[in-house]
Amino acid sequence: MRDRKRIAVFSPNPKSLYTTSVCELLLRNDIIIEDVFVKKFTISRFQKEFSRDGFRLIKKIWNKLILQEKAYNGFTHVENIISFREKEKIKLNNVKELKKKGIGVHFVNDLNDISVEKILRAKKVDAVVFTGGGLIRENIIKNAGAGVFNCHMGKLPEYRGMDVVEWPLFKKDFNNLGFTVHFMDKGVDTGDILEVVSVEIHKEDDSIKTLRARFEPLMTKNYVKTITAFLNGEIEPKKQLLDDGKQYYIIDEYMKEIADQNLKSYR
Amino acid sequence: MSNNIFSNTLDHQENLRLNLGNLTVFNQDIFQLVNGTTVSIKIQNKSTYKELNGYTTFKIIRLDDIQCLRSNIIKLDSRQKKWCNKILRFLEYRFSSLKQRFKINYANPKERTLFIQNLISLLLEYAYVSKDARFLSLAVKLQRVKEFRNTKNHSVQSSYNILLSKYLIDNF
Repeated sequence: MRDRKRIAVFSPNPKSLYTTSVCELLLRNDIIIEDVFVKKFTISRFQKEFSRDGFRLIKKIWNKLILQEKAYNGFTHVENIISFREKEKIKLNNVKELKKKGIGVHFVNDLNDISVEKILRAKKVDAVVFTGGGLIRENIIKNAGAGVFNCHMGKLPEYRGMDVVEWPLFKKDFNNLGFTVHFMDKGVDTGDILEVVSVEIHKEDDSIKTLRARFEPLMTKNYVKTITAFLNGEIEPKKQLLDDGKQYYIIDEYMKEIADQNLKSYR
Repeated sequence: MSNNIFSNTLDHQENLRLNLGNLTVFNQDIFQLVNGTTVSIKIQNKSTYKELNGYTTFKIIRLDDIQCLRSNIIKLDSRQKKWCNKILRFLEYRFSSLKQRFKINYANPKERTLFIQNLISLLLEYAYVSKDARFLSLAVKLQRVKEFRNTKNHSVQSSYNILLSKYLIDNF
């Protein structure tokens, strides 16, 4: 009889639709969640993320924390995370509910805090599942068992970094849309690859926002599937060569509009 | 509208025509992308600029270093390409604090603006030769920051940059 695998989960906020969906699906796959670490929303976090993302952060906060499910009202013509959760009967709305199952839920200032490191070291988890909350440092990766899983919204190794849905569309690289499950390392999206999934453009993808909404349930499903397969010894990670891809940054707003037009012309 | 920096291309063409003598450009072929007609322009002397050493930190980069890279843009060696990539990475990572950081390179506002506009020219010219759109995106984002140009009137370098940006976006 196979030993049940034990993981920790990293979350950007306690009500994250992505985190709660991933958690519930992992539990259904007989994986034990020992602890969930949630990054606290503090002024210093806001300042740091604002300096990186600018006013995009305000939009992100509005959608993810204020509107939540209502943010998907404009995307009912595609399968989005809300319809996916309804279809899969995912009930978990807040990671705090996991406390009832005896799962540790910890609110931390930084996912790289020594307090997180200490708990991981004590629990000796098989792996950590990252669902958002910033870069992860060496001290955490070293204590994360096999490693820290991440699901990157772009095809690796080609498209590392940010706006990796917009960039292939700007470049009319329509066959290079997709996402990647990989291990995190000290680089940006340079860790060993577990699975690369291509996403084709559909007629319903009338905008980049719609396409991104459609990505989310696909990523959630495949993320859990790949994590489970790896923990069961069914997948071998593959190393990336640094020169095989480029790191992309926030795309200029006008170039983003061109990317959107390219999508509309292509579908 | 996000394309508002490209809204007065005719004015920029006129600015270019009237002030060609003040434009710093190193490559006739690239210049022709924005000007269209064959106009005799003063191509800067490549040998004026010193050899680049290894890249250390952005804060010690001077206008001369940027011009050295621009003057060799068609045939950059691997060390010079590394410079361009390190500049890209630094500017993208530190974008939100560039208004302060550029003051370390040049305290004098006029010299600083000249430095920034030539830096933007470098990014655009490198985007063209390398076909790497990341450099184009950064150059356009920098041009949206009004503190990085003469606020009242665009310099001829700024007009060149806007026209070259428009060309590259339309033809990428």
